[in-house]
Amino acid sequence: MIEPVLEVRDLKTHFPTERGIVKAVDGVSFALFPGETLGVVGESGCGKSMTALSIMGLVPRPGKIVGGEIRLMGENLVGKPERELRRLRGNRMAMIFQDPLSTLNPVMRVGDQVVESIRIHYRDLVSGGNGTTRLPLSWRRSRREAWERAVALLEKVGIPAPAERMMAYPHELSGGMRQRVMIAIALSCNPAVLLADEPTTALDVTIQAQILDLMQRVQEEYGTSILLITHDFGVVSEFCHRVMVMYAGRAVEAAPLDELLTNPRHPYTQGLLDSIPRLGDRTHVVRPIEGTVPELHALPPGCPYCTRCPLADDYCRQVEPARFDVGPGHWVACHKAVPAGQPAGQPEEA
Amino acid sequence: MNAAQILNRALQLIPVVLGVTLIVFALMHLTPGDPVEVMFAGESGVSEEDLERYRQELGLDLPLPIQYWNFLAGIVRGDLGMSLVQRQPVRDLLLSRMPATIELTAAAILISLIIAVPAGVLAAVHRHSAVDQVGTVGALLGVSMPDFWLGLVLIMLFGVRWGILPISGRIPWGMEPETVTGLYLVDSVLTGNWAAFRASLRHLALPALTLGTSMAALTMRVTRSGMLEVIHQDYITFARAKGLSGTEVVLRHGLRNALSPTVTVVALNIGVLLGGNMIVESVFAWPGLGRLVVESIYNRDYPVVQAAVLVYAMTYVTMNFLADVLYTVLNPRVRF
Ligand SMILES: Nc1ncnc2c1ncn2[C@@H]1O[C@H](COP(=O)(O)OP(=O)(O)OP(=O)(O)O)[C@@H](O)[C@H]1O
Ligand SMILES: [Mg+2]
Repeated sequence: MIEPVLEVRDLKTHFPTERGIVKAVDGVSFALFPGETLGVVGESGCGKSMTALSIMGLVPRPGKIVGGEIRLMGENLVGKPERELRRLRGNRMAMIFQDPLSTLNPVMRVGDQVVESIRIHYRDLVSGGNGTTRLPLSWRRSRREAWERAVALLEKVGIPAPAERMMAYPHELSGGMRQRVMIAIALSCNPAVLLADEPTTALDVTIQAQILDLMQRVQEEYGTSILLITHDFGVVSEFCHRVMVMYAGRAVEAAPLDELLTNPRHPYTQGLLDSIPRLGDRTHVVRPIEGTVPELHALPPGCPYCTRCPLADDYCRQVEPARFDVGPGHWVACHKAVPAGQPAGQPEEA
Repeated sequence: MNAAQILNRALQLIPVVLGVTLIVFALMHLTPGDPVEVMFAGESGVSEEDLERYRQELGLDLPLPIQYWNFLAGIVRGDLGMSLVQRQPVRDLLLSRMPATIELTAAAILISLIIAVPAGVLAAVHRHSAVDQVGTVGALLGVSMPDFWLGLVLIMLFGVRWGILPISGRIPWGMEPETVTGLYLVDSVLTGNWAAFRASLRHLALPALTLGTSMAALTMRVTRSGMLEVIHQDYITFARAKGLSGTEVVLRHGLRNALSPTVTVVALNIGVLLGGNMIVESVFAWPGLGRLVVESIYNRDYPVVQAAVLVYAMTYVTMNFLADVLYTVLNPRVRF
């Protein structure tokens, strides 16, 4: 059996606030396999970014991981000291963000920012990843080498005239170029896992396609596993192998891409799919999901979706559904999706 | 920002400068009392013809626009008139007092930065912690404590009670280093006169500390809020995601973005201080521009007071300009 590169088990990331504890991530579990892209979808505020930031160990204060496990190549990251986490960041796991303009330092030349990320892990780089065998090169030499490597990286991510672009400030580049720079930075140390938090949302459609294509090529070449967070089912269907749907801090359904698109079992997933307009299909009626996401500090006791679910009954409002396997690699957390004959209330391991 | 843009910005200063000279000129002619009469007040044996002769000599009988023109031409030539009391060119008087004020300004700014920048950054990074709270209270004290009072307290403690630091003047009489720049600290180093260096440093300590701590309060608050704004930016999270440590992130990515407002405040502080701080220079008998102004006001030496106002305004305008230039150097995005 193939081991997952990243395995998240029952992750809980909470924010103590004046109005109560905001459970931004509440019991999320999933696995990410080598060379795979897992899409994470869900409405705004459902905890997608916090899941990624929890993995990186960068949950903003006052948020805190209060439970669960995050295993990166077998190593549990929860509770690891900051110093050790720092060595993994940018190295084994990297993250890219939605808005490359605000994510690149506005007062630092693009080249310096790429060089910096290369040099942080330079020792690991020259020693092939284990960080111990070779001594650091002299500062001057490592800087020149890092600079050359940075130029090569920019070229690799499809930036024309990379040597000149190195001298530019972020605001002097186009949105697509900036996103390429960010990807170059994230890839500078060949991370095993790339967490991409809506990497194309801020870009227009043609550029979106180019960036997704770039990520796909990178994945093919290096076997990087990608966790792709997005709102956009178009992106998901182009790019992901599997999809996980989140709602109000929980994962409610996960399945291989085709299975999820053709056979969604959770009413929320069905609602999401119904609410996207389909290009060229005039007969399709767009039906937005009624109501709004409940406040995360005052969730109902049962299923988090019961306030909006057309199928919800009293049982749903009282008992939280566990996960049920409904097909190969397909599970759902919904009382109504349990196939007839299977005893309710018997959770299965995912 | 390129040279043409800097020049453009500098040209925008011309109307401001002209306005300042006009106001100073107006003040000179609106103040009651005839300067020539003031000049000879209390002296016997000066006839009305003598006064008239002096007026003509000084050009005070000419029509106002021509007097203004002459005043401007004088400024351009560096001729700021004659002191009525000291009977020497105002320019020489100002120049002789300038080094003391420059030295005090530099020391005060240095002290304020040493206190304010680390304190502001720490307070922002550890927001709501004990460090932050101590900083807030300290800044409040610093802002609300008048300079003269802080100066007197320092004199009481260091000068009177413990007797470890001198409380007045720049240096004991007769110890002055050979003049090169007029800045005693610099001159004493240049001439290798370590006794003078030590002495002038000790004299500088209390006035610089007084000004420095009171300026540090505001600078620290500005640094703190600048930093607070920056540490929530995406590029800070991204820098940490690259694998930088918290300290590296603050120093390499935070500071330069956070310091723009600090730079502006410091530059304006320099502008204010370079004109001479009347209160602190008086409390510590510091022979700088501020004290010269106070003395000249007592003596009704108008040309000196007016020239000092002019210098004061000019340094302020210049520092403001420099702050803008520096601001764009720190922020490649900003364009005029
Ligand atoms: N500093 C904070 N204090 C309290 N709650 C917070 C804080 N930061 C985030 N949250 C909560 O965490 C929840 C999850 O946020 P997250 O950013 O992960 O959402 P998301 O799914 O990424 O949404 P989007 O699609 O808008 O990016 C939000 O509902 C928000 O209320
Ligand atoms: Mg998000």
